[in-house]
Amino acid sequence: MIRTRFLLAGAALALLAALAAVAVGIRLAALPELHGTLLDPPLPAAEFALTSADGGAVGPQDFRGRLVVLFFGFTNCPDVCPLTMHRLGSAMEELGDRADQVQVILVSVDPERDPPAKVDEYAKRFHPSFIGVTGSDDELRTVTSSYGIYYARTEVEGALGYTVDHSASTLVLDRNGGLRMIWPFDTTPEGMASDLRYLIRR
Amino acid sequence: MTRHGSSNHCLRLPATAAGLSLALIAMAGCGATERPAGPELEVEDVWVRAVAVAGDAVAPEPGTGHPSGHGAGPNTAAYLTLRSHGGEADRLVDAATEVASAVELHRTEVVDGVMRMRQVEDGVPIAPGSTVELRPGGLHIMLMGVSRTLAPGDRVDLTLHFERAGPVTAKAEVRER
Repeated sequence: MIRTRFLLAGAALALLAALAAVAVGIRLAALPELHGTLLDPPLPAAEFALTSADGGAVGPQDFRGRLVVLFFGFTNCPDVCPLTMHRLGSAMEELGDRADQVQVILVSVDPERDPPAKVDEYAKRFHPSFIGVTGSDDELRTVTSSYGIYYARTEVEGALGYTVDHSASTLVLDRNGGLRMIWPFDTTPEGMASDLRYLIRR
Repeated sequence: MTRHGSSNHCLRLPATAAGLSLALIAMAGCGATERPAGPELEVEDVWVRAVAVAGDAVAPEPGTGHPSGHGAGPNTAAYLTLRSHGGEADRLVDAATEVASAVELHRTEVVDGVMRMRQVEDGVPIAPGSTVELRPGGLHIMLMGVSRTLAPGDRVDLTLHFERAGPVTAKAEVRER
């Protein structure tokens, strides 16, 4: 009798432990290590209508059902912008057949030197699926302020004439258009791909 | 309005005979990534980020080039490692390459999430025995108005001007990243 009770208690404990392990396992599988700031719940993200290479209006609302990755930069930027764009391109390669779940949009904050066709051509160098857009200064100011992105044209000495200081982070919008993730400048392609896979699964 | 950091010529007249001999040694068939600039200063791992010039792929229509502050070509950056083995302090003051209309030393800083890029006015000092890296997201040599497509695997002559060691020409490898 006592022995049976011990056995039952032991079996119950083992079952609990197994359940706990499964629960932890599911939890771990559900939340991998993330490489940026996850916004949970997602923040409302503004729609916008910037100009694409063919002259049409493009905004994240055109890609509902896909993740939208937004980066703000300019094509004359020789260092941080190509680095980030190249990492995004590598992340797309890493995603393989899931890459079609993601739309990367480069927004140029230097409309004077970057007409839409030039931004788009520049973006496509890093991945054929990428698109580049820009707009008037007024439009860009509205879009960037609604996304918490800073940019400022700054006159500099030297051949460049002016440069554009800008936020170096990359934003990820979920399938419903909510702002879901912010990656810092130094996020690796592997980190980006891992986070995108997680957001695609959700 | 714009001031050009360096013009087209690849090799300037060296300031000293010693500078000339160093440059010649450097150009005369050293390894691809290791360039002794002198017994005390080594220039290593010299590379340039790949860049496409639109006109190279498709003939551009006249007058469609977009100004980028200095000319029609795009910009890119060169990176390298400077290794001092002692001796006296030196300073990288300028650089030049045939493939760019202007070359300047720049530094990128990300401060509070904002990327700022500024010209390094006083050059890049190299203390005796120190190693200075020019790498993405930090110090770099900015190539402006690039005249032709630089594809991964290409090699580009990059002449570095040091305050003491004089001009040193290195072969920079074009890389994708």
